Amino acid sequence: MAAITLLRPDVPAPVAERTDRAARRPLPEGAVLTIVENGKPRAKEVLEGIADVLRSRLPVDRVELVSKPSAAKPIDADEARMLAVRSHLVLCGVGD
Amino acid sequence: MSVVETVILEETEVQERFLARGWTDGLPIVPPTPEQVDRMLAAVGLEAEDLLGVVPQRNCAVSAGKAAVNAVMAGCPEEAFPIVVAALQAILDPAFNAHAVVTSTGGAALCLVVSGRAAEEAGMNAGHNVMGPGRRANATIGRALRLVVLNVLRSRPGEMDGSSLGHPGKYTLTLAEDPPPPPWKPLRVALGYLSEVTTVTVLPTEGPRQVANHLNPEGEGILRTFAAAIRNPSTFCVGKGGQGLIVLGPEHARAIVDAGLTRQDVQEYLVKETRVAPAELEAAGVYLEHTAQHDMRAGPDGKLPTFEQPEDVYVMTAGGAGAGWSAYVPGWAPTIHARAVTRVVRRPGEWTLPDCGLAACDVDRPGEDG
Repeated sequence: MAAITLLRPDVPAPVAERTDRAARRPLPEGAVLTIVENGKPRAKEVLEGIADVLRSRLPVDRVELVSKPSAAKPIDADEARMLAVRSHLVLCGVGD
Repeated sequence: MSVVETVILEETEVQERFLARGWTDGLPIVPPTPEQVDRMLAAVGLEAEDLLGVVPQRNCAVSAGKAAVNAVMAGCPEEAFPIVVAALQAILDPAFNAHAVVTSTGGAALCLVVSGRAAEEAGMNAGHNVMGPGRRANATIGRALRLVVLNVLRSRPGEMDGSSLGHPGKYTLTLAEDPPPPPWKPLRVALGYLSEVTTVTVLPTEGPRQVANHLNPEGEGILRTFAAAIRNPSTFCVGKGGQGLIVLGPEHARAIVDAGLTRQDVQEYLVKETRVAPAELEAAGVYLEHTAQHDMRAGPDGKLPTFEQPEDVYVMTAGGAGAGWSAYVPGWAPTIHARAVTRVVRRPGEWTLPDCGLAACDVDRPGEDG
C-alpha cells in the first residue's frame, strides 16, 4: 500500500474560550424585560406567555417587544448592544 | 498552499476516512492532491490564500484554496473552476443570506444558471436532460459548492444543516442556458451584463417541478399552465412574495416568442397571474400569517403575491426537443430572507476589473479629469 499526501477540505470550527457566566445581579425595581421574537408564526405568543410568568415572579415593570423582520437574519452586534443598554432581562431563542 | 493543511493516508483508506470525517456528500470523491489543487487554482489565477468571501454570522471565511480542494474532490474539470469561484462569490453576497440558506429546515438547493460561452468551454450541457445526469461539468460544479458548504461553512446534515427532508437538487442543480430564439437576448443581457461575459446566477431553491403542455401551441396557453403550476398552495413562497426560475424548453420557448411575447411580458404575466386569493390557500388547509414576519394581508385586488415584481421571475431557455416540457424551480423563501445573486465568471488576469460586472458600471476615480 502507498501513502499519499492530501489536502484537508475543511476548516475546523474555532474553539471558543471558556468564560465564566455573567454575574447574577438582583433586578432593580422597575426592571425592563425585552422580548425578541424572531418573526415565526406564534413566536410572539409563546414568548409573551413566558413573559407573563416571569412578571409574576420577578420585579418586572415593563415588557418591551422587539420583532425581527426576518427569522433568517440574526440581530447584529449594534442591535444587541442597544438592547443590552435599555433592558435588564432579554428573552429570545424561539426556533421552529 | 499554506492555508490548507495536509493529511497523509493510505490510498486504500482515502474514501472511508474522508467519509468518516464527514468531508463528503456520501458519494466517493477524487483524492485532493496538492498537484491537482494547484492546477485548479491556476485555472482561475488565484492564490490559495485569496479570500472569496465570508459568512460573518458563522465566523466562516472561504479561501480560493479551500474552494479548489473541494472542487477537486467533486471531480470538477479545471475549466469549470472559474464558474465555481463566481458561484461561491454569489452565495457569499449578503443578499443571498447563506447563513440561513444552508441551515434552514426548508432544505434549499444552490441552483446555478450559467449564461455565456464559459459554459460551453467547461463542457456544460444546455440541451437534453439539462437538469439530469450525464455531463461532468453540470454534475460537479454544483457538487463542488455543496462540498464547500459542508466543509467550510460547516453545514452538515444533522448538525447545522437542519433540512427536514432536503431534495436531490442539494447534490447538484446546475444548468447552462441554451440561447433563446431571436429576438430574445440571453439571460445575462436581460440582467444588464454585456453579451461577451459569462454570468452565473445562484438561486436558493426548492426542488424543480416539471411543467408539461404537449398540445397547446399558443404562447399564452403555455403561460397559463406555468401560472397554475407556480401558484400551488403547497409551495412555501406562494402568497408570500418570493423568486423563481422558469426553464423554458424549446417548444414552449418557440410558442411564446412566436406569439410576440417578450421576456418582460412573461415576467409581468406571471407576477399578475400567480397572485392568489387567501381563500385559495385556506381551501388547501394553509393558515395565513397575520402577526408574523410574512405579511399575508391581501392587496387591493383581494389577492396575495407569489412574486412581488417582474425581476423576481428569472426566465431562461434550456433543454432538448421533445413533446413540450419545461420546468419551474421555486425559490426557497420569500425575498425578505434571501435573494438570487449574479456574478461574472472571471479568468486569470481578469481580477482587476470591478466586480459589479454591469455594462453600465462607471466609476469616477479621484484625480482623473472628466
